Amino acid sequence: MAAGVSSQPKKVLNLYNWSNFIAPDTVRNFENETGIRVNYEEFSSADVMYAKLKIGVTGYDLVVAPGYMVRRMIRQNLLTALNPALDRGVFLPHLQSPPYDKDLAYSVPYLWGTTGVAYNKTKIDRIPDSWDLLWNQDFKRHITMLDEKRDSIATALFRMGEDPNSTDAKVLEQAKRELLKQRPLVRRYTSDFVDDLIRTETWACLGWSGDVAQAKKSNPDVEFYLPKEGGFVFVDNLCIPKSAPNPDNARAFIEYFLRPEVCSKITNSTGYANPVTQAKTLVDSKYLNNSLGYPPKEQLERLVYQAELGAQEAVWDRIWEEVKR
Amino acid sequence: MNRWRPWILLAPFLLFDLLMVIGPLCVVVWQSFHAIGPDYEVQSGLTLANYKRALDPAYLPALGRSFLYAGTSTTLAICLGYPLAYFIANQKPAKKSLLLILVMLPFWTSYLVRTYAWMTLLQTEGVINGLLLKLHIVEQPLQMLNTPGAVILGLTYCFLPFATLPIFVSLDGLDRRLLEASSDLGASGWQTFKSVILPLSAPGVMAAALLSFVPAVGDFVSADLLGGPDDHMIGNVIQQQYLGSFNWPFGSALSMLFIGLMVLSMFFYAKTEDRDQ
Repeated sequence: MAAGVSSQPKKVLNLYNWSNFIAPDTVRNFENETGIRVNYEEFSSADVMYAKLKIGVTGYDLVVAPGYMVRRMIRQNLLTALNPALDRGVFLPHLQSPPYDKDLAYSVPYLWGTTGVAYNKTKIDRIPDSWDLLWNQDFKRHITMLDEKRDSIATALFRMGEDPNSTDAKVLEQAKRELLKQRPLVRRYTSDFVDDLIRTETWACLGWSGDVAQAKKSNPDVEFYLPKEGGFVFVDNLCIPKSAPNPDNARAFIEYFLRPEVCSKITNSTGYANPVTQAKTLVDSKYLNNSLGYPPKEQLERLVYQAELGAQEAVWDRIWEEVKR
Repeated sequence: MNRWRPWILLAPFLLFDLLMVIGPLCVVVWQSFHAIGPDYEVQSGLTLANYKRALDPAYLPALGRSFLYAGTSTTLAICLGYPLAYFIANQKPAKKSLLLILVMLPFWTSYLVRTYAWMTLLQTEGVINGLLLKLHIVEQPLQMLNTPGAVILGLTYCFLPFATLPIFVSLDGLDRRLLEASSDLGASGWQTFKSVILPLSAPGVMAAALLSFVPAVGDFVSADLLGGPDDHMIGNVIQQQYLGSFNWPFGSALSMLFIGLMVLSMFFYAKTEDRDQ
């Protein structure tokens, strides 16, 4: 606040988060404890959130952003550095130095998960372990792929044993051919895969761990695994935009979230693992040592972060468009 | 003073039009002549590259599907909307208003929500398949969701009120004495319909066709939710550029070409109309 202007700082926090990405009572408890009133708004596409900040919509104090977007937003000077910096030691080891923000200078890990294969166990009589399941001819028109170029193209790359962040045009062409082979089996390319999975409309799909955990609550036949060829680990992060009117209140929410009893509740409600090491003891045991929540060590080693594609991102865009159209 | 009066009265509308319609359209035109940079930002130099890419024949199937799906759904909406409008127009005034409110009722919930409702009805283990299986009409559940038929159904359902209302207006305003004259002169019910009612309601049918075709041809929700991977319409292609690939300039170029095509076809349509009259 500028010196000389006497204005009472408003006790308000404008929070912009994914839909279904918080426990039902988190906001209320935070309000009761701090007296800060929360304006809670949800998005279902991170691109929409990013587009709003990019074109200069102001008023958000705290936004939840996926890692690849954090990187872009840091570069475009849309985020405020955390001051003082957080103690990274409280986070799980593999989240302490993510490639998009190595020192966690601008982002606080919020929830994290993995990409893998979800399937309905009544439709298959052996336990699958490979990405091959998404190319299974018996599942014709019962497979869905995510409408996300990074995740879906990487599926083909993982399966081929290639770098899932490849920028090699030849390799990407090959991945495109694999995806075009798969296309007749695909019922649709969508990121809303949960309902189809619950209703057994989908028998196997590329999915995000926590969303699959949600589906499993409604349909116990749903299973999930991290394919032996590897998969992505992704982190959604709490970030304070440059334009935030109440950055102090955003900071208060971040500190509140990092309490083990708060973030473990969010995990138990959303199915997505939280980053706080100490919170693991409070998390529902069904998520521990399980690819749905906290994968065991040997599975963690298969996980890869999405890397910057640089100028080659245009090639990914073009390939994804050619696969879908 | 008198000379300026119409313009003064029109000013609020013109101002709104300028700010809310012409303004955004100018942004789209401007964007369509620029390239994007590595961070998806619109760059400064002018280029025709977006238009060159938009003319790629790879986009023709989606364009063709848009016209096919929108054309089919418009035809269906008119075939369904005409008898409905005819029925409503022949009711007593009180009942008429009630029925008209019922036609408008779906607008009270969002198009998106209603499309989701269709998903529930059409899915493999959904309401319709459940009924068909129970009645032993089919042995295996039908694959209805994520097919071209589902997309056309979604579009027809959504734009049916747009087709019904203009036809109703033209039928409701019909001079009853003409119908009496027709029957006095010995015409059968069918002949009266064919030679009197139908020609007199033709402007309503034309308006209905336009009002349901134009929004349907640019729609993307129906194809996105009810269609499969081979049912993408031009609206989906444009939406993908804006929100998926983040290439707003290219999305703008595609939109401009599409708008151009629509304006051209409306122009020829108006011409043939004039000639017919």
